[in-house]
Amino acid sequence: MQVERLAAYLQKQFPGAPDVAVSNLSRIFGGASRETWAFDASWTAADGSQQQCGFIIRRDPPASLLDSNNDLEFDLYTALAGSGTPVPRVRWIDRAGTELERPFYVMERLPGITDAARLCVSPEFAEARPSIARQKAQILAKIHRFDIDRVPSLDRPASPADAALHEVERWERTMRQDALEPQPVLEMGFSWLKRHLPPPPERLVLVHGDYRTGNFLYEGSTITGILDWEMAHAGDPIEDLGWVVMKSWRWARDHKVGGLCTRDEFVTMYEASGGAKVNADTLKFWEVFSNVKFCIIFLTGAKSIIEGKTPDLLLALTAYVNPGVEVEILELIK
Amino acid sequence: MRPNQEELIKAIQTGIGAFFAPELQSLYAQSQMAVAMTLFGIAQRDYDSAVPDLVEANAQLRAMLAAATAALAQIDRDDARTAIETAPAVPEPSASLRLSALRAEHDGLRAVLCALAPLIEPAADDPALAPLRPVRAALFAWLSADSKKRVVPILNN
Repeated sequence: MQVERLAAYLQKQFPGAPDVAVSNLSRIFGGASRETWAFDASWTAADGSQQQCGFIIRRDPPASLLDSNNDLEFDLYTALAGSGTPVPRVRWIDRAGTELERPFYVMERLPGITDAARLCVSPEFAEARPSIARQKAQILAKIHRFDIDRVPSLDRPASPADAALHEVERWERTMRQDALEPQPVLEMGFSWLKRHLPPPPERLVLVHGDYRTGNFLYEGSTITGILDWEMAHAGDPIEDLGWVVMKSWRWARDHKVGGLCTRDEFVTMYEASGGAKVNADTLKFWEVFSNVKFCIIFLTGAKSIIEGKTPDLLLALTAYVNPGVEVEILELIK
Repeated sequence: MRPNQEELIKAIQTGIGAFFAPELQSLYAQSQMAVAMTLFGIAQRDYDSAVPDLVEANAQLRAMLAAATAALAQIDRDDARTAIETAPAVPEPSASLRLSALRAEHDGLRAVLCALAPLIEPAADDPALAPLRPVRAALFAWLSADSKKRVVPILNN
């Protein structure tokens, strides 16, 4: 990405400012579903005051782990502003992709870091972890109380009764489309899922779809922003809890879900915060589903790199996450 | 011929690490380099045993599919009969030890397993599918062991 083009784009967003300057443009590693760039900007406001702000650009990659669009994230961040769920303030979106080669949107940079392993393992965060765990549960309950009708672009099943099968079929379609080799473990997983569909939720809620330690910003003992809404949709609230409890996020390599607290502690805090009542069988269904979905995401990434759609080596590496997740799937459904 | 292929991969990895990596300025490029180094390690790890691993896996999978087909034949249900009739044909053992031929055989065997999965997986709970239970247990154990062989420890918690 060229600094000059970015500065020219920003100049259009601040038409009265004669001196928009861009600095510290750098790409952030990870986020394999969308390119993430950070930069600082400064300009003179109409009243003559000097302004400066840190921004994040989320730009479509040439190929990715996910087939998603900027509109959904932009709409969600816009709708969630002021809802009590901490999210960055979104500023501009370019759907045409004419300004910086591909479609993108810009949001203000929040304070904090996302480093999951450091949060969950480092002694410096030992005292912060219980508080972060509690906030993580409270914010999830808040997300699940959000009015989904405020975001028309959100994918949703026809009714709560269809919530589970809607997601199972979505990811089965993705597997059939993207798997480059037969996937017997995932086939076993889909068979199990279709036989263990949970009872419908009371109502459809906003499901984050990737709610895990590593997808929120934290500063000290405070969660400052919930990120990565590419897989958000309307569905069963327990789907998000299934993702939370996955073995893959047990960063401390012990029993703590998300590397922060026990499974029971998280469920108790979530329910006490006004979240849905959690049934153990329903949670197990969504845990199995989450592991299957996780594998399929990486199959899509592997296909992208094998077909030469992207040079991002992370997509080759993440394919090697799958064997460990397959072991977990088999353990859960055996 | 020395260096052999594994030694070449290691030499390339070492050379890149020594001469290219220090020149990288951005954190993003350095992170991509770290990923590349890990991928070189995976390629080396899997290289030497690739052929015998596939030969062994194909033989084991073939035996389990034969057991599955025999168990299905004992089940008096339309879906069991249909599964036998419609599943892809079990591929002939590869006459070649080329990786490409062994991989094709392996994919063919796994495709048969995929086709039978909707009957094998429910066997644990469905009394009518009881003849498949030993096959299910053996297949799950085999699939788990097969996946464990391919685990990259730093990638899984």
